[in-house]
Amino acid sequence: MPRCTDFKSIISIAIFKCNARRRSECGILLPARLCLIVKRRPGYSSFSRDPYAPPGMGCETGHREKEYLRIRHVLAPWAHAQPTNSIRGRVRELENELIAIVAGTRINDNLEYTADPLLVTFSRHFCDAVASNRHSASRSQIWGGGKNATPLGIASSSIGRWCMRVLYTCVATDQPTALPLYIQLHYSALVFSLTRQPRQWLSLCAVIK
Amino acid sequence: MVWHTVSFPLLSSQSCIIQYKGTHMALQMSIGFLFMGGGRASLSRSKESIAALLAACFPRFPKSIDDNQYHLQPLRHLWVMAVSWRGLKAVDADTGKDVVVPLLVELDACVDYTAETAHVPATKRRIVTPCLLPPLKDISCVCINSERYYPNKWAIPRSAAVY
Repeated sequence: MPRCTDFKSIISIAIFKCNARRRSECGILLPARLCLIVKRRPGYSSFSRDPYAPPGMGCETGHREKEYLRIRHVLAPWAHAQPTNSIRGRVRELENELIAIVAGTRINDNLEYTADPLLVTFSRHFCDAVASNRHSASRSQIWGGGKNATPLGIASSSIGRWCMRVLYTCVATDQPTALPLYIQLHYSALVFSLTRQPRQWLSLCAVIK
Repeated sequence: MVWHTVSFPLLSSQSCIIQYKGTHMALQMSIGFLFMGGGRASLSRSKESIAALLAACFPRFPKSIDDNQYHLQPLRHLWVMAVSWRGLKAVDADTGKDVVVPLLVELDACVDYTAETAHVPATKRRIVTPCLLPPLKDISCVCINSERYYPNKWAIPRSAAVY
């Protein structure tokens, strides 16, 4: 009868051969590769950050503030319906919160709803003050016309609202390239209003709205 | 071993009735089965694996380190041949972090699995990553079952589901 050490060597060789055969046959499904690469849709938060996710999949609500939870829920109303406000107020609230989060003025938790630098810059320079409604008078100078005179003929707060809607559209549809188009249209409307071409100005206003 | 003595001080207590090497071996084997591969591995159901497990878990444990009378101690290592790596995780392409993603695993029609909910047919199974997949040879494909992520579908090649 062979000794114990001989059996150890035999078994180690058998295990080595088995692993080698398994690696050659398994191909793409080695242990380290049982990993799925997924991509989140724009406008959705991950389950780990969603307080309204199914049990075992959501975040721990005990460490979060109530306002913070509400904001995150507002960002994905289509995932979990919450029939509280009217549709119009709901959309307005969603836009406000989206601006605040993208601009990083209200949450420092790095919610990456968009990583596009154009959208982030646009939100920080044109939409953060709109969300807080503090510097709307100075911000409206950027769009030309001062506090009460804008190329669209509406108040400066409406300009901010328009900016938020543009940003929301770009983020929700994952089309950041639409932002320059919106800005160019707005610039054209500004030019038409300054050169006193009411027909073109009105048609552009209708398009932008 | 350090982890074992810290987490289970009763097992290493001198006053305990556990004295024999075979008892320690059985307990440590069970702990190893429970935490196999850090939760990413499981035991295969193939015939070869069952044979290896039978040889490894033969219920005649030694009394001392040189006790090979009823069962050869090196055969206790054969459970390694029954290990199947089935741990699945999902990684966000943007952030590179592990995320929780609901998945729908489509099993072969001949496989008899119990459906967890009444809405899912018997040949489909809902899982949430990170998790352990069913045996790979029984899976036809894995697809995303959530609106939050772009739809995708992964087919399991038959050559990969040997074990």
